[in-house]
Amino acid sequence: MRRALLSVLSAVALAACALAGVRGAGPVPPLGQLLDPANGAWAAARHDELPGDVSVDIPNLSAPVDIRYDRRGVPHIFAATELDAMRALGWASARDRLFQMEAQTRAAGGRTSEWAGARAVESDREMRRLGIAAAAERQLAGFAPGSPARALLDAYADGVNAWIDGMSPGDWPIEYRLLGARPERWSPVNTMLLFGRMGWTLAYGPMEQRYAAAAGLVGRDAAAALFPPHSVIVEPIQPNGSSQPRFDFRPLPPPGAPDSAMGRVAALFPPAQDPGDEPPSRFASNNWAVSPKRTAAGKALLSGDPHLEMTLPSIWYEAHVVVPGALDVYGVTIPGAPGIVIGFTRDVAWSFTNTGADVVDFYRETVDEPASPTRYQVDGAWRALDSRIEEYRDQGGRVVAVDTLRFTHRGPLSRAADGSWMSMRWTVLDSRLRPDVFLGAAHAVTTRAFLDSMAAGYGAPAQNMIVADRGGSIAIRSTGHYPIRPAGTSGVVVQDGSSSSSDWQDFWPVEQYPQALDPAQGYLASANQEPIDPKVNPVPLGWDGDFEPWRALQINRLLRADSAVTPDAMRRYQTDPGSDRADLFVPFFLEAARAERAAGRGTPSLDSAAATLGAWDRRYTRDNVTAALFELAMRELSRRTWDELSNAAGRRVATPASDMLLNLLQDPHSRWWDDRSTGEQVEDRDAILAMSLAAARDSLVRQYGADWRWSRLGVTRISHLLGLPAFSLRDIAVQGGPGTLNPASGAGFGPSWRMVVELADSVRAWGTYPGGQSGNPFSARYADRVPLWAAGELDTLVVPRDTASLPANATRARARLTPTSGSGS
Amino acid sequence: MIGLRIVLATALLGLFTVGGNPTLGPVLIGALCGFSWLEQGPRVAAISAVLSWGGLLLFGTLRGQPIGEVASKVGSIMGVPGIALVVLTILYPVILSTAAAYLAAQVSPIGRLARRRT
Repeated sequence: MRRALLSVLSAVALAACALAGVRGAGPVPPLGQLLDPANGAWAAARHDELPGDVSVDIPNLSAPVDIRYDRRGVPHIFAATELDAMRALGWASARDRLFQMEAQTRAAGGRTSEWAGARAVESDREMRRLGIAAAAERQLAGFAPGSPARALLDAYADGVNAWIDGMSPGDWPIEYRLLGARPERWSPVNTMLLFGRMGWTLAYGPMEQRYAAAAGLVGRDAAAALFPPHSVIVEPIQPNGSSQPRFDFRPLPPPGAPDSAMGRVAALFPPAQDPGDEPPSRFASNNWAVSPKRTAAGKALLSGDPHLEMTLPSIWYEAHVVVPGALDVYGVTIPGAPGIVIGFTRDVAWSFTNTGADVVDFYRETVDEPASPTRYQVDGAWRALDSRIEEYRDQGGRVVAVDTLRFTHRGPLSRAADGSWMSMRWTVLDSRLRPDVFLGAAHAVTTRAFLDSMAAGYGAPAQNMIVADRGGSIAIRSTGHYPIRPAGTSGVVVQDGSSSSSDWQDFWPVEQYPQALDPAQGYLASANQEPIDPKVNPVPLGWDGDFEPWRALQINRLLRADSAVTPDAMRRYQTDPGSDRADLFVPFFLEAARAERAAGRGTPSLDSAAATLGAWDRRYTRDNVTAALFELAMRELSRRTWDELSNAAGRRVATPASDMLLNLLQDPHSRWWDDRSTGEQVEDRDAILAMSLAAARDSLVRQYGADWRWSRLGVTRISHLLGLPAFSLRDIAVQGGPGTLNPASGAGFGPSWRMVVELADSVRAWGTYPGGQSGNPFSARYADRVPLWAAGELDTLVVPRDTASLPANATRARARLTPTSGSGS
Repeated sequence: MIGLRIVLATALLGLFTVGGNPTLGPVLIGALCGFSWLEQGPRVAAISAVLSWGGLLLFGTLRGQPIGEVASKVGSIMGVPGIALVVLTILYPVILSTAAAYLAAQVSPIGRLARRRT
């Protein structure tokens, strides 16, 4: 009896343990893989260190490649050909960032359910319905075998796969253990997916939804005024000859009657993320360049400061690629991209900011069969829909969902909430993006050559590309595909798809892009503001509505005041704590407090808040105690002012840009100031300002007592790609805040790579990013740059011309890549 | 005699584990122990599992792997204290190999014969 019982218990324990070991249980990953002391999680730290001095075989390599890692863990790749260099870049990127590369491309291709199971199908569906995966495959198929673009993608894949093939299970990044997955070989299409993902991140903002939602509540006139095609504050990227910003304030029409037709249009879209109290200016970026006549050393200077989601590992990977006589480029690449995206050579330096442009439009289509259409109508004739079956699989490879995606000549067709069908045209899905564009541009030796090279192969997402060269030239161009829409239409309204007259007619020619070359003012700057003064060219790039003027005001002010700019000043400007936004808003708060007091409506709370705000130096330093009061007051002000834009459920459907709030402040008795929640009582501007200020103070006292230091409130976080707290950093105090040049936010967005380059006879450069070169959470190189980044400091970048220029004591590790036997040419 | 058996089983399990069979290894080695050494088998299997996986962990620590940090971070992801992850790592092969050894001893023809005699 005892023996039988023990046998049963043993069998159950064995079966349960083996099952948990091989397949996992619920959220618990396969325990065998995870706990294995030789190859599991415990071994993850083995991959921590750089290779020491190793020799690796790489297929298709034409000659040996030498990779020297410097003290900061940056690989300096010395290769005989550019394709060999890209093989080495693929190998080095995969060595440090393999999981990130696969995770990002899986997300772009809508394949995360293969890791996370059925619960990830909905987010995968969203990505596939955007058409990114289909576009990536189409784009790849468009590159003929052996073409420069295809050869580059193949070479990069060779390098990545050489690393993957050479890994033992103990080398797998720990995330694979936690997911119970194994690395997948790299395909060239992954690179195209990565570009599509960047397009989605930076250039997918359907204005149609926001405009329609606002018009549904306050009427079309008011909505059009709240979301205008041009910014109220004019400080354009393309200089307009003015030595100061211009404020084109205009009266806002009062909120009108709800427009039910527009409300129905808004309902066609899936519910948007709550825009919050101020519109999300998450992907802010700065760049500027100063010509020799305004620098202390008489050399051109360039600052690059792209702001993106800050993750661990970082979106960027730093690398240096040298092909003697052909290429010598240093900078950051996105792991998975064959080339340096932002960086410098010995002749030119460049950086990007995102261009505010509406490059996505929607069309209501007439289809033959509402439930399962096969044709759609254009100009009275039926056209066949292209279709594509999409299968979603789980961890075990089982199909858990199937979709049919349909495409019109415009782009993907999707079913709206009311059962009707809408198609989408989006520049990111066009097949004109060349993956070799960054490599090609790195051959340029002048600003003009650089910009022309980019314009020839780059389409989306549109970027303000700034460049400086060794000869002292500086230039900027907002490069990308901007649709030319039919006369009388804007990209803000859902179009009638049954007529070809709704279609885009073409894209703007390069000559019409906002641009400037060696302007008289001696500097150029972009910070996501409207690129061109509408008085210079009134044709908008598209209805963006989120132009961020504050950082543009700040950097232009700093540069105007400095006629002897140094590299260190460029660095300091990147985290300058001043705020032009505060300079413009604070006087209104103070005046309102005075007016309320004079009218006998003062309160101790208001008096105290006004006294604090009045003494503020308007700087977002870490120990500042008033920045938090101002930020909270701004949030209160936005909430109380735009209450008309909240739906019946109390949810804000759209929030105008913050310069529209400044515009409204010019009209003290506008009906927009009235707080609807107070019934018959009608508030004016000063009442709302005073209430907002007092409420902000009360809220701070409640939440934080007497300690309002910005370092407690203005903190940011850098999350691991999977959001795992153990692998993330939180509560990082930084200097800067909303609307400043360093707008790192609590939501985890901020400066993703900071760089300053001086182009002299020998290039000098400094840079850092919020992370580290390794994607291994147990590596000392995982987040080693964060303290320097948070302090606003930069590392000196080492840029050796050849292996001999990198002394042994500056070399941390070395990898020699050699052709696989028989594969070299 | 039992010492030799433990050394042999520990070495075999270590080889299987390093070779990438963290689940199959303990089961096979456990079964082998049970089949060969009958009632002593489960004890040999359990001790060798502890020595083998514990030894590999210790070896990693001596090579500089941050075992404490891994335990703490991976443990927090799984919602258990770091020490529990270490204990689980030792228990996992012990359960597999001991259970396999016990079952193997029951079905072993030699074992059946011995039981019949008693």
